[in-house]
Formats: sequence, structure tokens, C-alpha cells
Amino acid sequence: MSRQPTASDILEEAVNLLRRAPAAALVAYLTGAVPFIVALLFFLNDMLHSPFAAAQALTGSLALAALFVWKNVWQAIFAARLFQTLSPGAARSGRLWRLVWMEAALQPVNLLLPLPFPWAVAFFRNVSLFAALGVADPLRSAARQAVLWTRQNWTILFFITIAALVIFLNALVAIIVLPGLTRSFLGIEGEFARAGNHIFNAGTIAAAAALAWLAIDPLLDAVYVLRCFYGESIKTGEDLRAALRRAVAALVLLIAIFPAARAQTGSIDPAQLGRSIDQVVHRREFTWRAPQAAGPEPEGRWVGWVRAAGDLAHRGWDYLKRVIEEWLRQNPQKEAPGKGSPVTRHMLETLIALVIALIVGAAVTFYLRRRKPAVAAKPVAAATPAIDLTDHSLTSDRMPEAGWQELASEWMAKGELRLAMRALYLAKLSFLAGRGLVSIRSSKSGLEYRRELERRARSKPEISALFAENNAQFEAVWYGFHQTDVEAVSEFSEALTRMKASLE
Amino acid sequence: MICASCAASRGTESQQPRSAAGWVAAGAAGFLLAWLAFYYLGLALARIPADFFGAV
Repeated sequence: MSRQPTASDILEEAVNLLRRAPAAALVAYLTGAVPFIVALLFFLNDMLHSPFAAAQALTGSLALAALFVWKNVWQAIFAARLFQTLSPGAARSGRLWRLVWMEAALQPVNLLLPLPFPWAVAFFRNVSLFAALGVADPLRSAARQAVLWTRQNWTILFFITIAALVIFLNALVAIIVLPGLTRSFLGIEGEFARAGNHIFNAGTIAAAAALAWLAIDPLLDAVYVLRCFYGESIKTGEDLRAALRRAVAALVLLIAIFPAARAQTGSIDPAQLGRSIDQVVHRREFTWRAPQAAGPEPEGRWVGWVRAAGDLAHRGWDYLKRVIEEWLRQNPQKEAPGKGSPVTRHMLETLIALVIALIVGAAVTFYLRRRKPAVAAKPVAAATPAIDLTDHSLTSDRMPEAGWQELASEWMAKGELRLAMRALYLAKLSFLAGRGLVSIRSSKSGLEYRRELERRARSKPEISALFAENNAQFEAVWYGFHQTDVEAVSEFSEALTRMKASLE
Repeated sequence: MICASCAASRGTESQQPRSAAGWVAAGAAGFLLAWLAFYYLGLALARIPADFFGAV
């Protein structure tokens, strides 16, 4: 290379290198990075929140150290594959065990020196690359390339740090905001949506950082692969050889294509060319601005459609006839003489026609038989499931609202006012769920239903006020020691009627 | 002036690869270092009081 590549040149080329990287390279990277990142997130979560963190730290850290080496070995293979796309034939084989031991020996030092010295960052990435390429002395080669073009290295790291911060913030905001948006716009409520403000925690921050790292890390690898490629090329001229190879390949392609193109232009059938042009100009992407063809306008509302449908059917029939004719047309060259052969073409065609007729007949018979069921099924009335109102995990979606009201009347008649009140409360929830104002979950508390109702029934504030009042009354009786009487239960029941009237 | 391949071979002539046993020992030491680093990171995180994260 005649001049030092600038930081923007390297970054741009690194992105292009990643885009044209072979799938095997990307799979190699993900094979190493994904297990390590997932294990790291689990480890951090366990250490932060588990009451047995101290006991688990030893085994957890051992697994993490093993996965760290695993990640670095695959990352080195990924970098070598990237290098090979720039310089095919650069790798030497039979060095996998040396690569494993070198990664285990050197990369943990990088773990303990997380200082942003550009030469240190470059050295640890370069050494992985040269070890995976099977270079005789990877340490010396890595050190030589690490100290090359320091200002360019600083600039690259500066831009990549800013990009990493932006990606981290984007990932964090996406993780925090998406569950709420999904609930508001699609009505899907998962664990993340129910977490509310608690979603902003150490685990979320770690997950966002992991995503940002997964986006930036391959780019850094590509950057240092390019720096090594251009750095080595000062001595070997490999970049010139690669450029020459590309130029020769382009020239060979051009030479191969040019005579073929010339030969083609000489033997073009004018009728075929006309048909091809006609097909192209009738494509949707070219017809949107073309003026309509002049000609007599169809008269009447249905005339145009009938004419077009008739044309379509006619063209379809013509096509079918042509296909059948071509299929049945005898080929004198391939036809065997009739006397000598055991089966003539005519016999074969008759047999095929017979088989097709049999298949069509069987299909028609099957269809007609299916339409007449032998025994008419009688509707079966669904049995009402036995409901245990004392069960705390009972949810209102077990029965429709009318069923709960009927159950409430039964328990009221038996004098079990507390159970009757619970049945009425579940009837209210069933009614509100039927209107799409709440979504039923066994884990939800009355307060959560109230908040959901306030959010979804903003235009009817009296509904949420009525529900809040009823909820307090129900919780005092069901969870507390408040006594209730027939009058209070009847009022509770009337609240549902008022709720319905308000929503009508 | 010398050709590129001669320059490349001159650069690598004096470099002898380190012994396999040396790399194995260094690899084992590095693995131990990584294990210790993750272990002490875990212990440091585990020592953060639970109420720091709003637990009751």
C-alpha cells in the first residue's frame, strides 16, 4: 500500500469486510460469543440476587473461565477467516491445540488489563489472529503490528467507543420501552410489561451492554484484521497481489463474456426480441407512468370486466390446448417401430388417460360422500365445571358473567354471603374482560386490575371509580375480618348493573 | 533492493517457535488467572447488600 490508510478508510472497509464475510466465519464467531455472553449474564444475575451466591461463585466462575477461552478460540478462527477473504491461502494448518493454549495463556491478561491503550487492544486481537493463521511467532508479529499507525488506532477506538455507547443506550431504551408499547398498542402483557419501573435493573443494563458488545466486537475484529493485512503488506506486498488478483479475475470474466455476448447479438431472433421487449414493458414497474392504450372504451358497467375475463379464459384455454398438443405430438425420432415394441405410444396414452379418469372419478366420489355424514351429530350441552369459590387461584375466565351471577344467587340463598360476594366480584371481572377493559391473570391483584382499568377506560372515569370502591369493599370482606349482610351484597350486585349501564 | 518474498523469509528466519510444554504451562496459568478473576468478580457482586436493589 502506497499510503497509510485513514481511520475512516479502515472503518468503512471493516464494515464491508463483515458484510461480505462467509457464513462460516459468522457462525464461528457466534459459536464462541453467544454461550459466553449467556453464561456471563446468568453468572452476574446469580451473584447479584441469589442467596447462595457465595457457594455458587466457585463453580460458576470455573464454567465462565472455560467459556472465556472457548470464546477467544472461536473469535481467533473468525478473525482468520476474515483475513483469508482478503488474502486467500494465508492460513497454515495443524495449529489448533497451540491456538487453544495460546488463547488460554494470553487472553486472561487482557481481561485484567481493561485499559484503553490502543496498542494493548491491538496486540491481544492481533495475537489471536496470527495464532489462528499459524504464523511461526505470533507474539512478535502481533507486537509489530500493534505499534503501527498509533494515531489511526486512537481515532478508530474513539469512534468505536462512541458507537458502542449509542448502541448500548438504544438497546437499553428498547428493552425498557418495548414491553410497555406492546401492551399499549397490541394488548400483549407479559412479565416485562408487568414489571413496570422495576425493569430498569442491573440485569437489564447487563443485557443491553451484552447486546452492544455483540454488535461492536466483530467490527473491532475486522478493524484489526485489516490493520494487520495492510501492515504486513508493507513488507510482503500482499495488498498489491490481492488487487492484481481481483483485476485479473475481472479481466478473465470480461474476456469470457465478450465473445459470448457478441455471438448472442448476431443470432437474436427478431420475433423473440419483440416478445421479450413486450414482456418487459408490460411489467408493473414500467407501466405505472405509461399512458393508456388508445382504442374503443368498453360500454356499460360490466362490459369491460366480462371482456377481460373472456380474454383471460380464452388465453388459458389456448395455453392448455397447446400444452396438451405438444405433449401428445408424436416424435418420429424417439418413437419406436410399432411392430417390435411390446407397448406402443398410443397404448401408453390410452392408459394414462384411463388412470387420470379413475383419479378424477375417485376424487368426485370421495367429495360427494364426505358431504353426507352417515350420522348427524347432536349438539352436546356443555356441563358447568364445579367451582370452588374458596380457591384463591380461581380466575374469572372459568365461566361467563351470567354463570358467576347464578353462582352468587345460589350462595346468597344458602346464606354464604362471603362466597356470594366473591362470585359477584368475579362476575364483574368477567364482564370487564369481555369488554376488553382488563386482561385476566391469576397473579394480578385488585390494585393491578384497577390501574389497568384506569388506563384502558380513560373516557369513562366513573367505571374505574366504581370498581375501586367495590374492590375495597370486597377485599375488606374477603381478605379482612369485615362482616357483610344481605343488603351490602345486594348493593355490591347493583354496582355491576350500574357499571353495565355506564358502558352501554 | 530485495524482492518481497526474500524480505519476508529474512524476517522469519531467526524466529523459533516456543516449546509446546511452555505453552501448555502458560495456558494452564492463564486459565487459572481467568478463573480467579471471575471468582473474585462474583464474590464482589455477591457482597452488595440486597436492599441496594430494592429487595425486602
